[in-house]
Amino acid sequence: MKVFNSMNVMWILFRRNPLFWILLVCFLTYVYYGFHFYSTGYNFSPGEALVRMSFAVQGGMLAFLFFGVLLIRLEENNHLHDIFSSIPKGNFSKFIGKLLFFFILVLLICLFVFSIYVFLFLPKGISFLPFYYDAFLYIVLYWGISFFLSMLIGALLASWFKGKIIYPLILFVWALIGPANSYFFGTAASKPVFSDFLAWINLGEPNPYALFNDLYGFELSLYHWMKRLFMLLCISFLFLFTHFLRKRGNIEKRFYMYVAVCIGSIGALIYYFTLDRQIYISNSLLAGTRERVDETYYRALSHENSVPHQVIAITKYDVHMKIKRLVEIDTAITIVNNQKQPLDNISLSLYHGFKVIDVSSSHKKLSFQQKNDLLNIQLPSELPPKQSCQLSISYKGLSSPLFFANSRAVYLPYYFPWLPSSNVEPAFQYTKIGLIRNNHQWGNDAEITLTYDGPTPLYTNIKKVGSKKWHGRSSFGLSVVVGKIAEMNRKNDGTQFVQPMTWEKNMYQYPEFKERTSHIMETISRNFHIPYEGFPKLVVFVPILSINDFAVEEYIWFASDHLIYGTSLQYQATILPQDEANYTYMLVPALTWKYKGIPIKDMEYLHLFDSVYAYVYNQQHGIPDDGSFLPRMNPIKSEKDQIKSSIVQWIKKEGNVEMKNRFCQEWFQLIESGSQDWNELKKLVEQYIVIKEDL
Amino acid sequence: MSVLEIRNVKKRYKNKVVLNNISLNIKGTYGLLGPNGAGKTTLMKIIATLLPLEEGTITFGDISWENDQRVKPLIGYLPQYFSAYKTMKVYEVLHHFAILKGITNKERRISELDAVLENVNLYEQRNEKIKYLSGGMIRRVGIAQALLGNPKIVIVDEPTAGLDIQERVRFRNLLRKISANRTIIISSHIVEDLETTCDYVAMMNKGTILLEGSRQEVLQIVDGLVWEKDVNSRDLEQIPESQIISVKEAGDRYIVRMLSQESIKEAKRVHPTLEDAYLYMMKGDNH
Ligand SMILES: Nc1ncnc2c1ncn2[C@@H]1O[C@H](COP(=O)(O)OP(=O)(O)OP(=O)(O)O)[C@@H](O)[C@H]1O
Ligand SMILES: [Mg+2]
Repeated sequence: MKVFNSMNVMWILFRRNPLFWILLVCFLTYVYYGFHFYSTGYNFSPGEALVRMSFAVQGGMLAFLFFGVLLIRLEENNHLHDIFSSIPKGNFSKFIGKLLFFFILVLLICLFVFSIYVFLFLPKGISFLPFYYDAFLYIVLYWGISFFLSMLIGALLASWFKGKIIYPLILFVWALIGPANSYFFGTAASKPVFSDFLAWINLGEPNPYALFNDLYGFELSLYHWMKRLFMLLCISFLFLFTHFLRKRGNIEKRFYMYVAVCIGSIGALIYYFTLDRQIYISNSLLAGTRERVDETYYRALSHENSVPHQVIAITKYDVHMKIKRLVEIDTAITIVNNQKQPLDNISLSLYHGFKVIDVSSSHKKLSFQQKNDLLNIQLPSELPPKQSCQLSISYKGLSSPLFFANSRAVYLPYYFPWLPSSNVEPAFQYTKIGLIRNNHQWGNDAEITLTYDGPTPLYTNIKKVGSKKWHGRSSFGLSVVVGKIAEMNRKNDGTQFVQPMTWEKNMYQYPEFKERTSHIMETISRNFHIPYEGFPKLVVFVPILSINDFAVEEYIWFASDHLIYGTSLQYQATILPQDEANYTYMLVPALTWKYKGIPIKDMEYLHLFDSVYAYVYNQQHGIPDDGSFLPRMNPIKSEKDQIKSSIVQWIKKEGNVEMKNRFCQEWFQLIESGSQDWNELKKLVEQYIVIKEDL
Repeated sequence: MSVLEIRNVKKRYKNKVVLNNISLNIKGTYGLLGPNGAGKTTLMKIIATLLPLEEGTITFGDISWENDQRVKPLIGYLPQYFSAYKTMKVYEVLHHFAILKGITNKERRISELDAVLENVNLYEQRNEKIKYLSGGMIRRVGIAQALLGNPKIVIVDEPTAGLDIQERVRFRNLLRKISANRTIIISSHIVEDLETTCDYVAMMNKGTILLEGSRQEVLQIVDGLVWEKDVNSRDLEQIPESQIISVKEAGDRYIVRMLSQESIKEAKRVHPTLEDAYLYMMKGDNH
């Protein structure tokens, strides 16, 4: 009752203060227009609307820092503090009452902000409730809790410092803990240790300068909740300690209990923070930013690359996967020796973030060596040709930041070696055009069983057979995708179309998407004699690009049973790209050499093929294409440039489509035979261009 | 009724001794007289448990100040500077205090609030906001809050400072009115305030008690030492400064009140007042 009455007094004081109403109205108006901006027209993006509101959060934090000072100073200014001290539990009740008041105020603000959000986005066709649930948690975590902590920090400082000195202090703290902190500290913020510190202390959106990732969703990892709990505990501890210093004698037993609980929990959390985990970091000031981690790693790796020659197939995968703080996988695989010689050791690819713990075969431990993305296993005895053996491999660790797998979201596609793969090459390679993802498709049919414990719902290319169990076959690999995605077409047409909940509005284009895709598939299948198994049963349309957004080879990944259609980290108002011609360019590499599992020897060469054929296709089918996706022509320096330029010039001329198509067919045969050689290409080009001049 | 016994209380701030071995027996309506900086507020804060009791003992009946949780319910305190939340109404403020003081029963709370408001004569103003009250009214709100919960010991620190003469007289009457059945400690450096309200008086200066006793006992100190003389302005200049208590103008002449061990020519001996005793003690202490 004392506490509630104290809270009520606080409410009377606030509601009779016009400044409070002015601030509140300004704040909510700003929030309304902020959300409004992202809920209309060209800027539409439900995710960005929240992530881009750092100014509102920053403003709210400042207000609450002042409220914190007010909490302490209110009685001091009114000379009431002494009276409350003379009343049994007087100050304590007041303090708790005021905390409760601010707690409820924060809660109400969260509800208001959330209501505005729902009010603006619900009528705009964003209908998935789990997304709103996350949005609410986001507002609680990055607005509400941040406001409340700011208030506590303000109160703590005000109880330490008397007089006006508090105001500059509060401004300093405000600059430090707000989401725009690295902005406030300018160049100093780029110093490595300091930038880590700023990222840690930031109570707002953790990636304030990054685009919203509609697949991953809001960053609501447990880590961020724990960080705030940690701050809350530290502040409580400091309050208790201050109380102790002020009171000296007369300390109750209970007090020591609180202190012990505080210190115990702080210790436990410090330990928790030292553990490995994957959180979503996209902040160019930070070393751990997801765009750079692998780039740095593979740039250093790019020189050494001698892979032993072996011909093996893995025909069975029995995978037990658990995704919590770490990814933990136990897998039993069946290996077949497909070469003429016996095998005594085998090499598999596995992303280096997964640390192999144990390899065994029929309960016998085998010796193994893990180096970068290569796992070398000594077989118990020589494996004769055509014979098979079973291996159990367990590993755990963190996936690549570009193929995240944590308790929020999972993106482990078939082309990434998150399962031991007989297609031996590093997960990425660093090339002239930057970091590119290598293709690890299996190349042979395999039976897969998956049991899975982690975030849900899970989308994969094999069939669900139990509550946490999937089973099926694939000759490409296993893809597992979890996140803020949902199935949009409810399989009406035999295809499961999965995309971020926030992109729902683009479904009107689904028939057109399907039609165009089928058409290109049919044409390519006929042209290059590639048999596909019909339209894929699963299409995953997700924002997976963030490193090489300009390489058309990185967009689409097609495995016979499913198609991963990647796009950039932006709201996608349409399924097909704005420029109609562009889609052909993305699909050609996916349906041709990537589908065939042809390894990249010369990216420039393959890219020339992709764009030349895509251009020819567009020309053939009357799709407007201004050629802007064709390789840019430098002043001719080398023979390579000359070949490129003569091909490009030739195909850009109108007419002769049949012949251009035939050229591409022959070129692809060359590629299929294993050639990525410019001289052979030159010979082919000379044939065609000479013939053409003859005509 | 119990006596508030203070024994050998000491208080220092850093190296400055603010209270030096204070021992008092506080009962009835009790005045604490002393110039600025004497340590009155400090002593009262210690009694009100706002400052820790570091040296010495304080007891009231069987309650010791070592356990301040038992002491707090006994105390009603009006600090030297009092104000309340400006935008709240008198009734709201007092209601808040009543609840904090643990008067949880609603009927009891209402009747007690009404009684207290009547007592301090603020019933009419109970729905005024604090910011519209005069200084005297605010002080009365202060008294009202101190009385809530019917504390055994009421401590009022300089209750009349800054009040005009009428308000002051009213305030003294109020203090007298509430003094029944409780111990009231009033501090002041204005002697008249205590003269009419207090049964017991202590005088302190620079952290020590110069004198303690009932009003009569205190007056006895200067009994027979106070003289009044009717002089003109020329004669006034002849009188040594140290003897003068006060000078009153009467037409073109002056009535001078003096302290003296020996009899003074042409002066008549008069009844001493508390002020005489106070000045006498202060003079003695300062030399
Ligand atoms: N917090 C403090 N820190 C240091 N010295 C203090 C503190 N509070 C009071 N003092 C000193 O203690 C002495 C006694 O102060 P106190 O306020 O008790 O005097 P007082 O008798 O109430 O005076 P006044 O009539 O002016 O109110 C003064 O010299 C004062 O400077
Ligand atoms: Mg004082």
